[in-house]
Amino acid sequence: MKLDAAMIDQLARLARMDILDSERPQFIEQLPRIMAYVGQLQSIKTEQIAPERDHPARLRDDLVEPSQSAAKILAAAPERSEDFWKVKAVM
Amino acid sequence: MDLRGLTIAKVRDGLTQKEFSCRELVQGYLDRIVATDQQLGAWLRASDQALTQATAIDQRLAAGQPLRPLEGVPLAVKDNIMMADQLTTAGSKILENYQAIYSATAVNKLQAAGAIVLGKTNLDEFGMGASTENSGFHSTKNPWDQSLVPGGSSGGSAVAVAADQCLAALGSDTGGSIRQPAAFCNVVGLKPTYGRVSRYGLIALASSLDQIGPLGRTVDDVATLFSVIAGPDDNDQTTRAEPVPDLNKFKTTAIKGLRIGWPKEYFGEGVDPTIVEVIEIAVKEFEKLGAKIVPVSLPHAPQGLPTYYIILPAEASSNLARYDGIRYGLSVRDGRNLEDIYRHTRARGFGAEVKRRIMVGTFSLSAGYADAYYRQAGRVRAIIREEFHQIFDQVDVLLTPTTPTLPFKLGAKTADPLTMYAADLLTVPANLANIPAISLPAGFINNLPVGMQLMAREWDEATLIKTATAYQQVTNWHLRQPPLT
Repeated sequence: MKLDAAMIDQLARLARMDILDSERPQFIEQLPRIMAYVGQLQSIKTEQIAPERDHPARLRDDLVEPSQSAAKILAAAPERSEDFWKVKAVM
Repeated sequence: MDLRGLTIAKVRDGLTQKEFSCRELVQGYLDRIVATDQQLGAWLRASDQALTQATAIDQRLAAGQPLRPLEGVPLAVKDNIMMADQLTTAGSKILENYQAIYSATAVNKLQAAGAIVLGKTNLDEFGMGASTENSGFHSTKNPWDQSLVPGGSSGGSAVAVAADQCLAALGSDTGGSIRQPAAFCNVVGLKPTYGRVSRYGLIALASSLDQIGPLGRTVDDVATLFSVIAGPDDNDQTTRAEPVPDLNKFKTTAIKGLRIGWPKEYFGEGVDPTIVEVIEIAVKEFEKLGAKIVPVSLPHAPQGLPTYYIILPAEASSNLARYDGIRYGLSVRDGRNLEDIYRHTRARGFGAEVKRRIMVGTFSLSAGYADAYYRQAGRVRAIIREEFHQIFDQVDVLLTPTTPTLPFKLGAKTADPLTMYAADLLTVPANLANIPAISLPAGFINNLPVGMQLMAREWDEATLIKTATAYQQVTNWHLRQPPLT
């Protein structure tokens, strides 16, 4: 594993989240230490273990019911056009 | 009016006997918030509806309507729990102006039971922290010593209860965020069984771990709130229809013959020996009450911390993907295209700890690393869970310290995330195992509170409440007041 500056930039790209210049040095120092700490789990023998079973979810009946008000949801939009959220060009 | 020593039962009596009106009670708390919160910073904002609601309750009482379970009880709510048409920030700049469009089920249940929400309390951003210093707005101070942190992430709710700014509060607990600040502030905090309380309207941090729960000055108050908010909800499919315990059964408690497990891993490396001494004294109280102390071992419990710090960031990085500047919240639109909106909004809206965890989670889930990190953590979690399941064949409850250290200085752990993560050492295993756990006052070291944690098997909050009540009946640590004027 090489969690270097290039990898940190790659993670930020994957997370669609820029890193501020003021944050970069601390992340470069801290993230490898955090991953080294949590990486200690790799020494635990788990070949015989099935990953944790999912919490059994209750399923409700698939019925059409009134939902949250679309007008209220759209009212929170940073930018909208009629009943649509407005975004910048995708490309 | 004098708010010191009030409990839910005393409020009930006071309103019934007409010793005070609900409006006087609520005004008393609002005055107290104004008088003390400049120093403490427990609150993000007060409700402008509390006095109107109090007047409505006075009218109900005057009309002779029967008292509901929480009639007129003034509460605080952590600001990651939504209330319709009110700001809900989760302590984050990215939601600074976000107005919730619906209320959390837990809040609806409290209000239907007659409770009054006084306002919203401070927290570490999205619940990520153990000191409330990671709030996007301000730090909260410990009322026992204002140079110290109150714990976190529900630090605002714990301080509000400890400083008599409210009678009780809601928090949320993903890895100790109710119990650890409860311990640091000398109040009681309960993390219910995973699936016991609906999380509908709780802003998600790590969905396999998050749980809403109550904080209060006494076990009795916490149990009363718990009984109101517990139960299944069609809006949260992880809730279950397990019977909610009848709390009236625990008013008089006998714990003779109760088997209390003493897991040695919770008293070892990383735990302040003076805290261990305080817990040893607490154990003697239980022995006097006829409980049997059983030494037990949970060999993988110390691995709970690294397990948690893989699972939590993985789930959080996924949950927080929704904050993209498109539908609500902060939106930075100075770039050229859609992706610039995402990148710039998240860069400016999230604090450093949130970004750290998103990157750790993204790494743990990324191609080539997911098996070694995320899936391995899931397997270790299964081992930890199984150890807890088996231990409850031998004992009825487990007794441990809540925190490995006393409250620490503001700023002492902000530079090194790993030292802050270590504050969660003793609380995360209960979340990983889905079991209920409670923290309650157990003593003092140099005038700073020490919390004791009790854990029980899934769905068995009843035994926790019974055991904790028995302890509070023979001790008075929970009655001590912080040095505030």
